[in-house]
Amino acid sequence: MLRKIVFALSLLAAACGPASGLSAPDGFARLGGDHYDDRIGSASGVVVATRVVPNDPKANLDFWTQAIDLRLRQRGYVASEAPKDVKNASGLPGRSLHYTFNDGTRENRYFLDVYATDRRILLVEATGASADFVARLPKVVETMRSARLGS
Amino acid sequence: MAAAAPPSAASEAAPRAAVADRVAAAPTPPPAQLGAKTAPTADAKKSADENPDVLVVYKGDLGMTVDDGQISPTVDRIIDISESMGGRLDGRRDVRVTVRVPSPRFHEALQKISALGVVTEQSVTAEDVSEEFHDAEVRLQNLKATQKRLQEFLAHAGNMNDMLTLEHELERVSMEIDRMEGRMRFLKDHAAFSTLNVTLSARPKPQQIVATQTTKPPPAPPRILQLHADWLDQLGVNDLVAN
Repeated sequence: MLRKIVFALSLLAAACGPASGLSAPDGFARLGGDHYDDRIGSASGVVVATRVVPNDPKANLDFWTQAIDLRLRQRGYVASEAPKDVKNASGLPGRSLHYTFNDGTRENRYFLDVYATDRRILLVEATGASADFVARLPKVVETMRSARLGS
Repeated sequence: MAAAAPPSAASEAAPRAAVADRVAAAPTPPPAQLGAKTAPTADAKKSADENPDVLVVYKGDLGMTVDDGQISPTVDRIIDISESMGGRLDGRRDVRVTVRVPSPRFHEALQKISALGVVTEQSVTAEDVSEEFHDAEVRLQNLKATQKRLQEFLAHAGNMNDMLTLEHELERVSMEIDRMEGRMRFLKDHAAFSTLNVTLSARPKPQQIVATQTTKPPPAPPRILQLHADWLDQLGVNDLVAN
C-alpha cells in the first residue's frame, strides 16, 4: 500500500514539475527567473535559460523560426550566421539562431534554439559578453542542447 | 537773216494753257472693267478663289521652336519646301527666313512648314488690292489716251512754243505711265506670290538628371505579422540577464 502511495506521489510530483529544464555545467549557478522554467549563469554573466510557450497560433518550426528572426532583427539584433538545424538531448528537431547585439556598452552574443511540437514551443536562450561567451562556447552549446521538455 | 528770238515767259505761258485746255476738252475713254469688286481681308481668299480678277496679297508670320542645333537644317528645309511649290527664297538672316510661295498654295506651304517644329506664334493677313489695281488700270488707260492725243497735237503743232510745251507734257505723261505700270506689276506679283516670314528659335535640350546621392537609401523595414504572443517581446539579452 505504501509503495502505491509513494508511486502516486512521484507521478504527481513529475506532473507538477517544470515544463523544461537544463543540465547545469560546472561553474554555473541556477538562477531562477519569472519568465523561465530554468535559468543558469556564470559569474562573468554568461546566462542560459529555457522555457516552454504554447504553440499558438499553431505553426511549424519554419514559421516560428522566421517570426522570431524578424522580431529580433527589428529590435537591432544582427544575425552572425545562418540558422542551422539542431536536435536536443531527447532527439527533438529544432533550429539554432545566432546573433550579436550591442546594448550600448558592449557587444553581446545571443543564441536561441527553437523546438516546436504540436502543442508547445521549447525556447533555449543563451547570452553573454562576446569575449566571455566565445571562451565558454562549447560548454554553452552543450548546456543548450541538454534542454528537455518536462511533463 | 535774223535769228529767232527765244520766247519770253509771257509768250510761252499762253500756248501751254491753250494746249492744256484742248487736252482736257478731249473725250475721256470709259474706264476698263475688271470684274466685280469684293470685300477685302476676311473673305479675301474665298473671293479670290471664286473670282480670278480679285487680287489678294497674303502675308504670314510664323514663330517656331526646333531642337537645339536644328535651326540651320530647318531653314534649308523651309527653302526646299517653298521652291518645290514653285516659290523662292526672298531673304535669310540668322534665325529668320523669308520665302515667297504662289498664293494659291500659301496655306499648303504654311501647313508643311509648321510641321517642321513647334509653332509658338502665327499670324496671317490677307489684303485685297483689287480696288487699287483697278484704279491704277483705269488711270493707265486714261494716261495712254492723253499720251496719244498729245502725240497727235504734237504732229500738228504750228510753232516752236507749242512743240516744246507738248513735248514737256508728253514726257510727264510717259513717266506717269511708267510709274503706273510698275505699280500694277508690283501688285500683280505680290498677289501672285505670298510672303511668309519664319523666325526660328532653339528648344532647350531636356536636362538630364544626374543622381548625386552616393549612398543608397536604407531599405524599407520588413513587414511583420502582428502575433498575439507576448513571449516574442521577452526574447533577448536584456530579459535573460536581468530576470
